[in-house]
Amino acid sequence: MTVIELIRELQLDPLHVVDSGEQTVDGVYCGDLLSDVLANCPPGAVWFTVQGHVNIIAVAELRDAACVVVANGVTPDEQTVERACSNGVTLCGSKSTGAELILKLAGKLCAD
Amino acid sequence: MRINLHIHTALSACADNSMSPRRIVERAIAAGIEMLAVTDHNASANSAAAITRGRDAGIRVVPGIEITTREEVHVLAFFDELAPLLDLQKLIDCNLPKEDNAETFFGLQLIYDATDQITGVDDRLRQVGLDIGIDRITREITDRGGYAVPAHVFRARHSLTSQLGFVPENESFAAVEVGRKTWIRDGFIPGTQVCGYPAITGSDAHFLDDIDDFGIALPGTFAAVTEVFQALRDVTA
Repeated sequence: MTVIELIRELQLDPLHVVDSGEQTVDGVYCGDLLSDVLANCPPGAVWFTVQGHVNIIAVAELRDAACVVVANGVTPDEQTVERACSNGVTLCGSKSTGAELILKLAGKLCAD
Repeated sequence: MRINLHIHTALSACADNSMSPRRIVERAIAAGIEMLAVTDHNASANSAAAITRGRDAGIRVVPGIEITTREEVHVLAFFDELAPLLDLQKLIDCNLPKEDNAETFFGLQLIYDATDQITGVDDRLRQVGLDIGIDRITREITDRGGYAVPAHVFRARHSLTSQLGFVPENESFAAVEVGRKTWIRDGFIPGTQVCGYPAITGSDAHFLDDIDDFGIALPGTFAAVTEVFQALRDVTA
Protein backbone atom coordinates (compact mmCIF):
# COMPACT_ATOMS: atom_id res chain seq x y z
CA MET A 1 0.00 0.00 0.00
CA THR A 2 1.24 3.48 -0.80
CA VAL A 3 0.80 6.58 1.32
CA ILE A 4 -1.84 8.00 -1.02
CA GLU A 5 -3.79 4.72 -0.89
CA LEU A 6 -3.55 4.84 2.88
CA ILE A 7 -4.90 8.38 2.93
CA ARG A 8 -7.88 7.32 0.78
CA GLU A 9 -8.50 4.10 2.68
CA LEU A 10 -8.58 5.79 6.08
CA GLN A 11 -10.05 9.08 4.79
CA LEU A 12 -7.21 11.00 6.41
CA ASP A 13 -6.92 14.76 6.27
CA PRO A 14 -3.62 15.39 4.41
CA LEU A 15 -1.69 18.31 5.91
CA HIS A 16 1.48 17.73 3.91
CA VAL A 17 2.13 14.92 1.44
CA VAL A 18 5.62 14.15 0.13
CA ASP A 19 6.25 12.83 -3.43
CA SER A 20 2.53 12.67 -4.26
CA GLY A 21 2.19 9.93 -1.65
CA GLU A 22 3.94 7.33 -3.80
CA GLN A 23 6.05 5.96 -0.94
CA THR A 24 5.21 2.43 0.18
CA VAL A 25 3.87 1.93 3.70
CA ASP A 26 5.73 -0.99 5.22
CA GLY A 27 4.39 -1.25 8.73
CA VAL A 28 2.30 0.30 11.49
CA TYR A 29 3.20 1.88 14.81
CA CYS A 30 1.07 3.49 17.47
CA GLY A 31 2.62 5.51 20.30
CA ASP A 32 2.61 8.83 22.08
CA LEU A 33 5.76 8.65 24.16
CA LEU A 34 8.28 9.91 21.65
CA SER A 35 11.15 8.22 23.49
CA ASP A 36 9.37 4.91 22.85
CA VAL A 37 8.62 5.76 19.21
CA LEU A 38 12.26 6.74 18.68
CA ALA A 39 13.31 3.32 19.94
CA ASN A 40 10.68 1.14 18.30
CA CYS A 41 8.88 2.60 15.27
CA PRO A 42 9.86 0.48 12.24
CA PRO A 43 11.21 2.29 9.18
CA GLY A 44 8.63 2.93 6.47
CA ALA A 45 5.74 2.69 8.92
CA VAL A 46 2.60 4.74 9.25
CA TRP A 47 2.74 6.09 12.79
CA PHE A 48 -0.40 6.98 14.72
CA THR A 49 -0.14 9.40 17.65
CA VAL A 50 -2.07 12.02 19.61
CA GLN A 51 1.03 14.17 20.05
CA GLY A 52 0.84 17.38 18.01
CA HIS A 53 4.16 18.85 19.14
CA VAL A 54 6.79 19.74 16.53
CA ASN A 55 9.13 17.03 17.84
CA ILE A 56 6.99 14.39 16.10
CA ILE A 57 8.47 15.57 12.78
CA ALA A 58 12.02 15.04 14.02
CA VAL A 59 11.09 11.58 15.32
CA ALA A 60 9.39 10.68 12.02
CA GLU A 61 12.51 11.75 10.14
CA LEU A 62 14.85 9.81 12.41
CA ARG A 63 12.73 6.67 12.09
CA ASP A 64 12.06 7.12 8.36
CA ALA A 65 8.31 6.89 8.93
CA ALA A 66 6.31 6.90 5.69
CA CYS A 67 3.51 8.93 7.24
CA VAL A 68 2.56 10.47 10.59
CA VAL A 69 -1.13 10.51 11.50
CA VAL A 70 -2.18 12.81 14.32
CA ALA A 71 -5.38 11.06 15.39
CA ASN A 72 -8.30 11.70 17.69
CA GLY A 73 -9.10 15.15 16.27
CA VAL A 74 -5.95 16.68 17.75
CA THR A 75 -4.82 19.72 15.76
CA PRO A 76 -1.03 19.64 15.31
CA ASP A 77 0.78 22.80 16.44
CA GLU A 78 1.34 25.34 13.66
CA GLN A 79 5.09 24.80 13.85
CA THR A 80 4.55 21.06 13.36
CA VAL A 81 2.90 21.54 9.98
CA GLU A 82 5.57 24.07 8.96
CA ARG A 83 8.33 21.61 9.83
CA ALA A 84 6.58 18.75 8.03
CA CYS A 85 6.64 20.92 4.89
CA SER A 86 10.22 22.14 5.29
CA ASN A 87 11.60 18.72 6.26
CA GLY A 88 9.65 16.64 3.78
CA VAL A 89 7.59 14.51 6.17
CA THR A 90 4.09 13.34 5.25
CA LEU A 91 1.67 14.49 7.94
CA CYS A 92 -2.06 13.79 8.15
CA GLY A 93 -4.84 14.36 10.64
CA SER A 94 -7.91 12.32 11.52
CA LYS A 95 -10.92 12.68 13.77
CA SER A 96 -10.91 8.91 14.40
CA THR A 97 -8.89 7.32 17.17
CA GLY A 98 -5.66 5.50 16.43
CA ALA A 99 -7.35 2.23 17.41
CA GLU A 100 -10.24 2.76 14.95
CA LEU A 101 -7.81 3.58 12.16
CA ILE A 102 -5.60 0.57 12.86
CA LEU A 103 -8.62 -1.74 12.94
CA LYS A 104 -9.67 -0.40 9.53
CA LEU A 105 -6.16 -1.02 8.29
CA ALA A 106 -5.92 -4.55 9.70
CA GLY A 107 -5.00 -7.06 7.02
CA LYS A 108 -4.78 -4.44 4.27
CA LEU A 109 -1.04 -3.85 4.52
CA CYS A 110 -0.18 -7.56 4.44
CA ALA A 111 -2.52 -8.12 1.48
CA ASP A 112 -0.16 -6.26 -0.85
CA MET B 1 23.20 32.11 47.70
CA ARG B 2 21.86 28.61 48.21
CA ILE B 3 18.71 28.11 46.17
CA ASN B 4 16.23 25.23 45.97
CA LEU B 5 13.57 25.93 43.36
CA HIS B 6 11.64 22.67 43.45
CA ILE B 7 9.73 21.86 46.64
CA HIS B 8 6.23 20.37 46.90
CA THR B 9 3.84 21.08 49.73
CA ALA B 10 1.01 18.90 51.04
CA LEU B 11 -1.12 20.47 48.30
CA SER B 12 0.53 18.05 45.87
CA ALA B 13 -1.37 14.77 46.27
CA CYS B 14 1.88 12.80 45.96
CA ALA B 15 3.69 14.84 48.65
CA ASP B 16 3.69 14.02 52.34
CA ASN B 17 0.77 15.51 54.27
CA SER B 18 3.19 17.03 56.78
CA MET B 19 4.67 19.35 54.11
CA SER B 20 3.14 22.55 55.47
CA PRO B 21 4.55 25.91 54.34
CA ARG B 22 5.77 26.60 57.86
CA ARG B 23 7.62 23.27 58.21
CA ILE B 24 9.16 23.64 54.76
CA VAL B 25 10.45 27.13 55.54
CA GLU B 26 11.89 26.01 58.89
CA ARG B 27 13.54 22.95 57.38
CA ALA B 28 15.00 24.98 54.50
CA ILE B 29 16.49 27.53 56.90
CA ALA B 30 17.99 24.72 58.98
CA ALA B 31 19.52 23.31 55.76
CA GLY B 32 21.14 26.66 54.95
CA ILE B 33 18.84 27.43 52.01
CA GLU B 34 18.32 31.14 51.41
CA MET B 35 15.77 31.02 48.61
CA LEU B 36 13.17 28.38 47.84
CA ALA B 37 10.26 27.93 45.48
CA VAL B 38 7.07 26.11 46.28
CA THR B 39 6.07 24.12 43.19
CA ASP B 40 2.89 22.08 43.55
CA HIS B 41 1.36 20.03 40.74
CA ASN B 42 -0.98 22.34 38.80
CA ALA B 43 -1.71 24.18 42.06
CA SER B 44 -0.60 27.26 43.98
CA ALA B 45 -2.96 27.61 46.93
CA ASN B 46 -0.15 27.15 49.48
CA SER B 47 2.10 29.80 47.92
CA ALA B 48 0.71 32.77 49.85
CA ALA B 49 1.22 31.05 53.21
CA ALA B 50 4.75 30.02 52.25
CA ILE B 51 5.61 33.56 51.16
CA THR B 52 4.22 35.01 54.40
CA ARG B 53 6.05 32.47 56.52
CA GLY B 54 9.26 33.01 54.57
CA ARG B 55 9.07 36.79 54.94
CA ASP B 56 8.65 36.43 58.72
CA ALA B 57 11.51 33.94 58.97
CA GLY B 58 13.93 35.80 56.67
CA ILE B 59 14.05 33.48 53.64
CA ARG B 60 13.00 34.27 50.07
CA VAL B 61 10.04 32.23 48.86
CA VAL B 62 9.50 32.33 45.11
CA PRO B 63 5.94 31.89 43.81
CA GLY B 64 6.09 28.78 41.65
CA ILE B 65 4.17 25.85 40.24
CA GLU B 66 4.85 22.56 38.45
CA ILE B 67 2.54 22.30 35.46
CA THR B 68 1.69 19.08 33.61
CA THR B 69 1.25 19.91 29.92
CA ARG B 70 -0.95 18.15 27.37
CA GLU B 71 2.12 16.07 26.40
CA GLU B 72 2.42 15.13 30.11
CA VAL B 73 5.70 17.00 30.40
CA HIS B 74 6.35 18.67 33.76
CA VAL B 75 7.22 22.35 33.43
CA LEU B 76 8.18 24.55 36.37
CA ALA B 77 7.09 28.19 36.35
CA PHE B 78 8.54 30.89 38.58
CA PHE B 79 7.47 34.48 39.18
CA ASP B 80 8.72 37.52 41.08
CA GLU B 81 5.23 38.21 42.42
CA LEU B 82 2.26 36.09 43.45
CA ALA B 83 -0.37 37.91 41.33
CA PRO B 84 0.75 36.63 37.89
CA LEU B 85 0.95 33.10 39.27
CA LEU B 86 -2.62 33.34 40.54
CA ASP B 87 -3.64 34.66 37.12
CA LEU B 88 -1.95 31.68 35.45
CA GLN B 89 -3.73 29.42 37.95
CA LYS B 90 -7.08 30.56 36.52
CA LEU B 91 -5.97 29.44 33.06
CA ILE B 92 -4.78 26.12 34.51
CA ASP B 93 -8.07 25.51 36.32
CA CYS B 94 -10.02 26.18 33.10
CA ASN B 95 -7.93 23.59 31.26
CA LEU B 96 -7.82 20.75 33.79
CA PRO B 97 -10.30 17.88 33.44
CA LYS B 98 -13.39 18.61 35.53
CA GLU B 99 -12.87 15.59 37.75
CA ASP B 100 -12.54 15.09 41.49
CA ASN B 101 -9.25 14.00 43.02
CA ALA B 102 -9.20 10.25 43.74
CA GLU B 103 -7.86 10.73 47.27
CA THR B 104 -7.46 7.06 48.10
CA PHE B 105 -5.32 6.59 44.99
CA PHE B 106 -3.37 9.85 44.65
CA GLY B 107 -3.48 11.20 48.23
CA LEU B 108 -4.91 14.30 49.88
CA GLN B 109 -4.36 17.85 48.61
CA LEU B 110 -4.11 19.95 51.77
CA ILE B 111 -4.25 23.72 52.01
CA TYR B 112 -2.40 25.15 55.01
CA ASP B 113 -2.17 28.65 56.44
CA ALA B 114 1.11 30.18 57.60
CA THR B 115 0.60 28.93 61.16
CA ASP B 116 0.31 25.23 60.30
CA GLN B 117 -3.48 25.03 60.39
CA ILE B 118 -5.18 23.02 57.64
CA THR B 119 -7.70 25.43 56.16
CA GLY B 120 -9.04 23.31 53.32
CA VAL B 121 -8.83 20.27 51.11
CA ASP B 122 -8.54 20.84 47.37
CA ASP B 123 -10.74 18.16 45.79
CA ARG B 124 -9.96 18.90 42.13
CA LEU B 125 -8.03 16.23 40.21
CA ARG B 126 -4.60 17.81 39.65
CA GLN B 127 -2.31 14.83 39.02
CA VAL B 128 -3.11 14.94 35.29
CA GLY B 129 -2.23 16.96 32.22
CA LEU B 130 -3.83 20.23 31.13
CA ASP B 131 -5.35 20.63 27.70
CA ILE B 132 -2.52 23.06 26.88
CA GLY B 133 0.66 22.05 25.05
CA ILE B 134 4.16 22.92 26.22
CA ASP B 135 4.65 25.62 23.56
CA ARG B 136 1.57 27.54 24.62
CA ILE B 137 2.09 27.15 28.36
CA THR B 138 5.66 28.43 27.97
CA ARG B 139 4.26 31.48 26.18
CA GLU B 140 1.56 31.98 28.85
CA ILE B 141 4.23 31.88 31.58
CA THR B 142 6.63 34.29 29.85
CA ASP B 143 3.79 36.64 28.81
CA ARG B 144 3.04 37.02 32.52
CA GLY B 145 6.65 37.91 33.27
CA GLY B 146 7.46 34.43 34.55
CA TYR B 147 10.18 31.88 33.80
CA ALA B 148 9.46 28.48 32.26
CA VAL B 149 11.79 25.63 33.18
CA PRO B 150 11.10 22.06 31.98
CA ALA B 151 11.53 19.79 35.01
CA HIS B 152 13.93 16.83 35.39
CA VAL B 153 14.51 16.74 31.62
CA PHE B 154 16.30 13.38 31.50
CA ARG B 155 13.93 11.43 33.75
CA ALA B 156 12.12 8.39 32.34
CA ARG B 157 8.69 9.83 33.22
CA HIS B 158 7.00 13.19 32.67
CA SER B 159 10.08 14.74 31.11
CA LEU B 160 10.87 16.39 27.80
CA THR B 161 12.98 13.42 26.75
CA SER B 162 10.49 10.74 27.81
CA GLN B 163 7.42 12.44 26.32
CA LEU B 164 8.88 14.39 23.40
CA GLY B 165 12.04 12.43 22.58
CA PHE B 166 14.51 15.25 23.23
CA VAL B 167 14.82 18.86 24.36
CA PRO B 168 13.37 21.12 21.63
CA GLU B 169 15.58 23.99 20.48
CA ASN B 170 14.73 27.68 20.28
CA GLU B 171 12.07 27.61 22.98
CA SER B 172 11.68 30.41 25.50
CA PHE B 173 12.86 28.29 28.42
CA ALA B 174 14.73 30.32 31.04
CA ALA B 175 16.62 27.14 31.97
CA VAL B 176 16.11 23.39 32.09
CA GLU B 177 16.07 21.44 35.32
CA VAL B 178 18.21 18.33 35.65
CA GLY B 179 17.24 15.81 38.33
CA ARG B 180 19.43 15.79 41.42
CA LYS B 181 20.89 12.32 40.77
CA THR B 182 21.89 13.13 37.18
CA TRP B 183 23.27 16.50 38.28
CA ILE B 184 25.65 14.84 40.73
CA ARG B 185 26.48 11.79 38.59
CA ASP B 186 27.36 13.85 35.51
CA GLY B 187 29.19 16.61 37.38
CA PHE B 188 26.84 19.48 36.52
CA ILE B 189 27.60 22.91 37.99
CA PRO B 190 25.82 26.27 37.61
CA GLY B 191 26.96 27.35 34.15
CA THR B 192 26.57 23.93 32.54
CA GLN B 193 24.29 24.04 29.51
CA VAL B 194 21.81 21.50 28.16
CA CYS B 195 20.96 21.99 24.47
CA GLY B 196 21.84 25.67 24.80
CA TYR B 197 19.79 26.27 27.95
CA PRO B 198 21.35 26.98 31.37
CA ALA B 199 20.88 23.98 33.68
CA ILE B 200 19.58 24.11 37.23
CA THR B 201 18.68 21.43 39.74
CA GLY B 202 16.29 21.24 42.66
CA SER B 203 15.45 18.70 45.30
CA ASP B 204 11.93 17.92 43.95
CA ALA B 205 11.17 17.44 47.65
CA HIS B 206 8.04 15.44 48.46
CA PHE B 207 9.14 14.80 52.07
CA LEU B 208 10.74 17.17 54.59
CA ASP B 209 13.95 15.10 54.56
CA ASP B 210 14.35 15.78 50.81
CA ILE B 211 14.75 19.53 51.42
CA ASP B 212 18.26 19.16 52.87
CA ASP B 213 19.44 18.26 49.40
CA PHE B 214 19.66 21.90 48.25
CA GLY B 215 19.60 22.82 44.57
CA ILE B 216 22.24 25.24 43.34
CA ALA B 217 24.59 27.81 44.84
CA LEU B 218 25.16 31.07 42.94
CA PRO B 219 27.40 33.99 43.87
CA GLY B 220 25.43 36.99 45.13
CA THR B 221 22.27 37.73 47.06
CA PHE B 222 18.97 37.83 45.23
CA ALA B 223 15.68 39.44 46.17
CA ALA B 224 13.66 37.84 43.39
CA VAL B 225 13.87 34.99 40.91
CA THR B 226 14.55 37.39 38.00
CA GLU B 227 17.94 38.08 39.57
CA VAL B 228 18.61 34.35 39.89
CA PHE B 229 18.08 33.78 36.18
CA GLN B 230 20.23 36.82 35.39
CA ALA B 231 23.03 35.44 37.58
CA LEU B 232 22.60 32.04 35.95
CA ARG B 233 22.97 33.60 32.50
CA ASP B 234 26.06 35.44 33.73
CA VAL B 235 27.80 32.27 34.94
CA THR B 236 26.70 30.42 31.79
CA ALA B 237 28.04 33.09 29.41
